[in-house]
Parts: sequence; structure tokens; C-alpha cells
Amino acid sequence: MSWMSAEDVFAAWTRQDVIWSDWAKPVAFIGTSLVPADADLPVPPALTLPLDPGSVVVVDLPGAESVGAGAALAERDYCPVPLFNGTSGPSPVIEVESIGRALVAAGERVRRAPVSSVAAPAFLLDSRRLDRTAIAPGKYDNRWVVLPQDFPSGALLASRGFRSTVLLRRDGLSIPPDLAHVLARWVEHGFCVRVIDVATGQTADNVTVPTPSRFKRAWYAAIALLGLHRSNVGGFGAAIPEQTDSSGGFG
Amino acid sequence: MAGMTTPWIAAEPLDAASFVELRRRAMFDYCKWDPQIGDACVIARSPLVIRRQAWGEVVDIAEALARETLAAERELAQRPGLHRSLGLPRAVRRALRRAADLGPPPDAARLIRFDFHFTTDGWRISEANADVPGGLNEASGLPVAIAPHYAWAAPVGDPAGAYAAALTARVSEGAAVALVHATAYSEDQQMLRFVASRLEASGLRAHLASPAHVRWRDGQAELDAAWWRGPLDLLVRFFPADWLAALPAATGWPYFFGGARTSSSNPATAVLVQSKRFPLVWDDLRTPLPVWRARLPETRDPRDAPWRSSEEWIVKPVLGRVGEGVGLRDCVAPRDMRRIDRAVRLWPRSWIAQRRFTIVPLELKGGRVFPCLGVYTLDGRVVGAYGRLARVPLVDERAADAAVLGA
Repeated sequence: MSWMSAEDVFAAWTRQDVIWSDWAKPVAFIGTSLVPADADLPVPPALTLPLDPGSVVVVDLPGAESVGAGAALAERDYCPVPLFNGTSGPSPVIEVESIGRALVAAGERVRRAPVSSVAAPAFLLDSRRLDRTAIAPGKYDNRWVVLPQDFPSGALLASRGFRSTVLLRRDGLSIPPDLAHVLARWVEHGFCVRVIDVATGQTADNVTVPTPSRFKRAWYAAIALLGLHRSNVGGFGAAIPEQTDSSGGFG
Repeated sequence: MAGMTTPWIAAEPLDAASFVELRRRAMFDYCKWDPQIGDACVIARSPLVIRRQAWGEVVDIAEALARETLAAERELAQRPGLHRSLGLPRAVRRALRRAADLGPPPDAARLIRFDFHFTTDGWRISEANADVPGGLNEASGLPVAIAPHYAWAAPVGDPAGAYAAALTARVSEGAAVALVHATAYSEDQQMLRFVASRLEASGLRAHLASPAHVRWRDGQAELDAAWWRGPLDLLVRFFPADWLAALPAATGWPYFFGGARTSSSNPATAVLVQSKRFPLVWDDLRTPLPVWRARLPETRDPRDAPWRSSEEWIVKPVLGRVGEGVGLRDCVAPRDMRRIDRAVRLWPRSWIAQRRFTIVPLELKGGRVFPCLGVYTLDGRVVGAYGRLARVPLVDERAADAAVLGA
């Protein structure tokens, strides 16, 4: 594949005739025009377990592996929806370049995949998004969390005939707290949740999603992020006691 | 309503193909990285078109508000006795006393966004975003992207361009500028990335950084980051002033409020007029505020307003943003209203009650919307606007960003 602009790579990963592509986030594609086209794509996990085409898939694997899984799922008539929301920056806490390289490397493959207009979504996340390993003064803190507003609602998904979710994880079957806020909302609309550990093949069916702390708070988005400020290097803002807030924008 | 002329001109929405292109341009040319919030696409298919005469009225009001706001802030900065009434956190009040003792940071390009609504009583504002007014990338980018489809109208300004030019004018070529923000929020970085690109095009060295990367040496700001260390010529702050207090003490964050030699846009003293309790100290100020009094709905301490029993009142958090936490009964779920009620009961000084106004809706082909016109002033002069179209009379994160055009 020849050099592509960030927009071309994004276009390869999205479908105009599939509603779920509207949720694709452009953040990870910014800067992909600088990525060499011959970048390697990590070997995707072996998704040998049958996946119900009527299931919504959430891929919560390490960055580039998630991209590889998304490409593999596209070839199984899922619509991959990149939701990577980590900003890039010099000396980042979370390395994101590999995600951009993977998106480029898999772009042509995804573009050619026969994704139908009624394909189920496969939301792609980076499971390293909250990794504290590399936090240090001076680094660019680009950790991030998923929020319910990053996804379609349970009501919308249910109206399209979906009633189950498959969560792909590595090295465990637990549900990360930020994702629990999303899945708990879907469960309220009758969704059942299955978790698959792609490393071991272990599966947990009909998982009970624990009601997360401060579930359904109107300003959960802000409060959810406050707990991360304990190792605050300014990435997530201040502790806000009783005030509400999201980001600093749009006052 | 009788005799009032709507300021708006209903514009045809873009066709499907043109809208796809607008969305794509917004994301990749204008850094609009969050076009979808939940089930809502938050880019409007129609521009918000304002009649030229109405725009002229809004400009006059906004510039008068800006003059009053900046004068009031200067007075409040010297009157720490009034700060507790503003509902500001204790640590912030301590830092503000620094401004009173040592003087605020040198001002570099004061940017404010006044949110206007056309109501049954004429133009009203819901608030002034004096601390960290967002939306610059949408305000400048969407009109350029959509204008070719509406040749009969034109953008009312380029606030991001004006802002970058004003910042550039205050420093020398090659100056180092830190754009300080909460780095985990792509929604914040998107705007600063857009501004930074303009600064870099003007020959400045722009660093997207956290306030925790800033250090102070005798009032001079320096960047202490893993990728670059050195003195800064200018700080562009998009990190809310009330959040600064949670930073480690070693960062010297109080300098954002006072005692600094490095210019700052906006200085953290802006939080004095950002507080929604600002109206509660008007009668104690010497600064005349006739336009504020005329355009902002009556505002009270929640303990002095019948907001629980009257539909005429709403409650808002003192330092709330993006419409979050606003207690507007017909737009907020009962469960959330109960939580708001409890919060107001426990922490009344962190809330205000405000008399409700009735927004005159705009009928577009896609349905009825409630427009909000965010007007930017830069050093007291209007430089552009940012439109939002809400499906309900509450402008929150689900409102669609709209290009503002004049005709």
C-alpha cells in the first residue's frame, strides 16, 4: 500500500453505509500520514471461538493487537469501530504510535473486507489506556478512559436487533471499571455479556456486570476521571469535590 | 413575542453527501475529534445564520459586556473579602490573595465567550466563559467548511485566527509558548492543536503541555518537560483555574494567579468572573454593570429562591461547564434532579439559582432547535462566534456545533 493520508486511512476503516462507523474516533488516525506503509501488523488473536454475528463485540486488547483483531473481525463481517482516544504527544505515558502503524498496515485489508450494511459493530479499545507504568514527571500524560458517550446507547443497539456483547480481553476475564459503566447501561436494555480471554481461550458467559461506583451520575464523565489524579501530572485535571465538570472546554 | 423579529434565517440543511464531507473536513482540517456523543451527531447539518442587523446588536452587547467584565475582574482581584461569596475553593482564594498582593500575571490576549440566547424577552446571556472558553476550532473551521454551500451568507469571524494573531503580536519570532491543558482529554487537545498550528505558522514554538510541566523561577515560567526544557515567553491556559489547586506544590501553580512575570492568556484571575455567583457581589462592587444586569437573568443564592417549587427557576453549579449539573426539571431525569437537590442542600455556596428564560426556538427542516450563540470577544472586541443547536432548552454536550454565518 502506498503512502496514505490520515484521512485515507480513516476512510479505509469506516463505512458510509454502516451506521456504527459514525462512532469511529479520528484521534488515532491523526499523524498516520507519517507512518510508513510497510509497517508490520501484529498477529491478531486466534478468534477460533464462534462469534454470534448478532453480538456486539468490544475488543479490549493492547493497542496494535486490538487493531489486528479489528481487521480479522472485518473479514468476518463485523464493522470495526476504532475508539482509540489517547492523544499523541512527545514523551507520552501511553505509547500510541504503534496503533497508528497498525491502522495503516491493516488499512487495505479492512477496506477490502466484505462488511455488510447490517454488520455488527466491533469497538476497538486499547487495554493499556490507563497503564501507570510509565508515569513520570515531565512525561506527557495521555492516559484516557472510555465513557458511555463514546458508544451507542443500549437502546439504539437493541433497536437494531442486538442483545448480547462479547468482550475480548487478554490475561483475565474481569471487566475494567470504566467499561463497566458502558456495559451496565447495555445490560439495562437486556444485553447479556460474555467475556473471552484470547490468551487462554477461557470464556465466561452471562457475566454479571457489577454496578459501578457513581453509576448513571449525570456528571460521571468528570468524576470518573478524578480518581486518576492521584498520580496527577496534570493529565486529568484537578480534584473537584462537589462541583461538576468535564473537560475545560465549552464553558 | 409580538413585534419581535427573529434574528435567525432558517437555512436548508446540507444533503447527505455534503454533510459527510463537512464531517470529514471538520475532523481532519479543523481538529473536531469528537463528532459523535452517545447517539447524537454533534455537528449540525445546517449553519446558524444570523441577520446582519441582529449580529450588529449582539456585537454591541458583547463588547459592552466585555468592558464591564474586565473592569469588574480588576476590582474583584483587589477585594479578597468578596471571594468567599463567589463560591471559590479555599486554595483558589488563597492564590487569589496573591494576585491582590503581587498583582495578576501580565495579560496577554483576554478571550471571553458570552453565550447568547434569543428569548421571549430579547437577547439574554446564560453565562460568560471567561476562564477557559472553548470551541475555537469549531467556531473558525465549520464556517469555512460550510460556506461554499451558502453563497448568500458569510462567516462572522475567525476567532482562532484572531486569537493566534493577538498572541503572536505579544512576543518575538521564535518565542516559546506553552499551551497548558489537561492532556488526557482529546476534546481539549483538539482545540489547542488547532491554535498551536496557527502559532507555529507564525514562527512561534508551541508546546502542548500540562500545567504540571510548568515551573517558575522568580516569576518567570519555564517548561520542564521530558521533551524540552527552557524559559517560556507566553502561557496559553486552557486548564480551568479551579483545577490548578490540585496540582503538586512543586509546580508553583499559584503563579498562574499572581506574581508572575510571564504573560498569560487567560490569567487565572478570570475565575473571579467565571463564577456563576458573580452576580451575588454586584451590589458590593463600585464597577457599574448595567449591561450584565440587563442581559443576565436574575441570579440568587439557592437558599433565597423557590427553585424547588417553581418552574421559573433553575439551579446551576458555580463552576459547572458544558451544561452539566444544571437542574432544569423538564430536561433532567428525576434521579439526577434528586442528586442535584441533595448537592444544593449540602453545599449551597457551590450553586446558584437563576430565573429561567424562554428561548425562542428555530424551526429547521430537521426539526425544532434551541440555538445558543457563543460570541467571542478578544481584548474587548468581538472576533467571531460559535453556534450550538440543542433539541431541548438545555445546551449540553449533546447539542450540535453549528457554523455561524451572517446574512
